[in-house]
Amino acid sequence: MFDLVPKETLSPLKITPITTIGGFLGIILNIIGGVGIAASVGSLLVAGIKYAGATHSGNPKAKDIAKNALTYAVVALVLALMAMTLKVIILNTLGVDNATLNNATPDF
Amino acid sequence: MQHQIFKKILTILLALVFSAAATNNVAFAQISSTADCSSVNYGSGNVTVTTLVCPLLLTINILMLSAGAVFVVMIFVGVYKFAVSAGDPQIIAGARNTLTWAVTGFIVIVMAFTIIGLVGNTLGADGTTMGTTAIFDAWITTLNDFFCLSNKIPGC
Repeated sequence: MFDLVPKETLSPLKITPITTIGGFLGIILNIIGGVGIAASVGSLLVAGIKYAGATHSGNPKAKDIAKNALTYAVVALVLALMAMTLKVIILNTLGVDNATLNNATPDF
Repeated sequence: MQHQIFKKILTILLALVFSAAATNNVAFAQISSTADCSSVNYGSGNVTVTTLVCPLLLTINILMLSAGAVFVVMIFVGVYKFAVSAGDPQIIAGARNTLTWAVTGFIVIVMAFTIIGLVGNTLGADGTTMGTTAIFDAWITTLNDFFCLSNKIPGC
């Protein structure tokens, strides 16, 4: 019988082996960075909805709080993107090559 | 007033650190770039420059890498705090504190590694890298002669 799906595509978990400490740190930082960017985008969304609701209901206090949340969600997003660049700069300067960093994302 | 003075001192220190690093290539260059630490035979029983210095350089390099990684992680801790604050001024102040001390800590660490490089330069190590370890050569030869540690010395 022939396989409907080639066997190699069925491999459940494929993880690139980590051989250097730079690669290890790169993977950790990439995971943390991805979660950080996702969290800031999520909070931006939630704050935007809250701000829209507060504006609609006309509650000035709730509007102020939502505005604050919106401001700092944008700050968080900018900081997260900045930190991703900073990660590349710092690790490159300390001797981790770009190829290691670019491949340093876990394959699931 | 005190805050202003602290700010000024911090700026001057930062400028010093970065100029030192830029001109001497001390703190930011990977220290062991010229030492051949990749093929050290620790099991041979011979005490050489590389068997003594390479673990030290490796440790310093790993510490520098970890310092950079921890700095980025602390920035992300601040980002999380900002993201989950939902406009709460207390949490926002805490996040700002986290970021301030992350930057301060990183500056202190960079200064520490700059000092390592400057001390190495002053004591005669290579100008751009400490990996060549010229100052250790004479000591190790003397030690080898004294303790008969090297197989190459006749009569040992």
